[in-house]
Amino acid sequence: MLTRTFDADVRVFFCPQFRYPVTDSQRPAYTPRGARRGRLTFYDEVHSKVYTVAERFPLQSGAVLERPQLVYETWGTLNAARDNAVLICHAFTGSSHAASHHPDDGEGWWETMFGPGCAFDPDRWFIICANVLGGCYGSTGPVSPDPQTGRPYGAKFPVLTIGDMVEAQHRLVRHLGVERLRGVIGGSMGGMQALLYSARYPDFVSACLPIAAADRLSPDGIAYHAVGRKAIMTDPGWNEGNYDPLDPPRTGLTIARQLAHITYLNHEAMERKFERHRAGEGGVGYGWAPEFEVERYLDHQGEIFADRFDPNSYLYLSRAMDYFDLGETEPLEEVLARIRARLLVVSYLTDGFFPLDDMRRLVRALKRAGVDTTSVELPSPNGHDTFLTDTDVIGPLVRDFLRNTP
Amino acid sequence: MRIDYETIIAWIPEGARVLDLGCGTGELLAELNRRKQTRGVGMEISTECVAACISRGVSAYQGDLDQGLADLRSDSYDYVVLHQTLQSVRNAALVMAEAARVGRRLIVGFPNFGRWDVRLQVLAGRTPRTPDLPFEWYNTPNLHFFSLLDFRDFCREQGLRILREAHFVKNRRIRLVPNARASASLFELEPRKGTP
Repeated sequence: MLTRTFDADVRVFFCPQFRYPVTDSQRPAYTPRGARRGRLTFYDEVHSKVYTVAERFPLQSGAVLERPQLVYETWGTLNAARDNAVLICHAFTGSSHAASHHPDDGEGWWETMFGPGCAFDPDRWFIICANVLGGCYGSTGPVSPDPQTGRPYGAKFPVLTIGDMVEAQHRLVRHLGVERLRGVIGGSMGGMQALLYSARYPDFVSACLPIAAADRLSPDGIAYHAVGRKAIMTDPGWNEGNYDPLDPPRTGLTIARQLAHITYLNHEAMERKFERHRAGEGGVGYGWAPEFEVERYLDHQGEIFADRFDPNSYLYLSRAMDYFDLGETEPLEEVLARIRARLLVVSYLTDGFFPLDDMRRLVRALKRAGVDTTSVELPSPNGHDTFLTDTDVIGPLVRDFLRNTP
Repeated sequence: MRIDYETIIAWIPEGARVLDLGCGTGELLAELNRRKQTRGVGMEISTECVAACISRGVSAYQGDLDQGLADLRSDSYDYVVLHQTLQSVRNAALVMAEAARVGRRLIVGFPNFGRWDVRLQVLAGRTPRTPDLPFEWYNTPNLHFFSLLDFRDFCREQGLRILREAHFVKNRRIRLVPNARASASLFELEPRKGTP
């Protein structure tokens, strides 16, 4: 039973062969931790390329990053008109490795969306995916060395916004010679980037596809992030952010991830997925060992995540999501009215992190702003993470929407 | 192409902003966009239908008409189309009032309950089943049954001026005694709106 429950997640969440690229070069200085448990990888040494965003890159906060770098991967080729590019913005804990480049590669986190006749067909599109600024899969972030000291930035890394991530990626896209993006797509944090990108560069984007992402993070989303961060920052191993990346505050990160996984499924999805099933013999243990399936699931998710993610990165990326609010400084509808792209907004009925109410608020504002919008609300047992786990549903929608957008 | 679709396409001018309530798989909107360069958008309750719209290249919102159109601004569309939709919404008067608020003109199409074969079946003491109303009483999606005479009364009460009508039998347009003969009817309406 336990195994079956995990089956749907295995492809996405067993993420072995993780590498911490702690220098800004392509070659990671640390060897992977944890055993290789599947084929999924988050960092591809062979096919990743590095782009230096700027000598000095000003952030929204006013801070300046010196020579920040993005690690990115591409699939397919840019056409002569330079208008067949699709930018994939990854979610919170994703990376540039959205898909393998040949059969010997490790699978990417959106592997099943790629291929002939699929959403991301390299014969048709020039597909770009970059690790976000602040991430821990090669791009400049808290695990990168601070040029001032040569040691990892840690908590001295400046706080980032979704806008900073978009700005850096836009420069990369321009650097690659793209004249106009056919599409910008992403789930969750990636959807935030897609929305902001389309509003900030309206003449540059033809299709915008935010999936399980609204115009702002809700107060409960911020609350869950705050508690997750507290778990990391009160772990003695965190040490004000100055831990050895080889010996990170694992317990705190594990708890943060477990909490996040509780938010990804709404009440109904939790009931359906776990009920009150017990693992093993199914008897009452009268003790503290995890015996309910939901407990074992969270333990499992926490453990595999701690093998592959950096706690400081977790702090920075979650904070960036907290700050995201398209309608913060001017009315939401006015911001959205600038968008010239066609929109496809995908919501999941069981999403606990971007619940239907939040998604419908975005769609309502898009309607009132007069943006050419298509919205679809999909059923799924897997809540917020459905865009990763059930690509058979969104795959054809994304494929057709990209093809049909001039 | 179906004659009712052809009629709607003929009635709607080039480049109009069109909202199709209950757009189904987007067939009508796709034709309108192609032949009249309209800027069409649909609204549909079914996920599968919205997916079909996406694969046709038609924009559509997934939503329930009975939840209202409050999200949409008044007069934001040149035409609101309610084709084979009105009989299956719960609150038909509310949906019509909202459609009239949102659109400058309406096009409404529905199965005519005044047709002779329907009358005969009612006379025989049966719930009518016809090619246009093919369902049994227990599984029909149609919640309202009305004739074109009923609909004309309804338009008068709702302050909707009838600009033109078309009546069909099978795939043919008819003009004589439509209430007894037409299987389906199409109306173009103009809401009487107070100046804002």
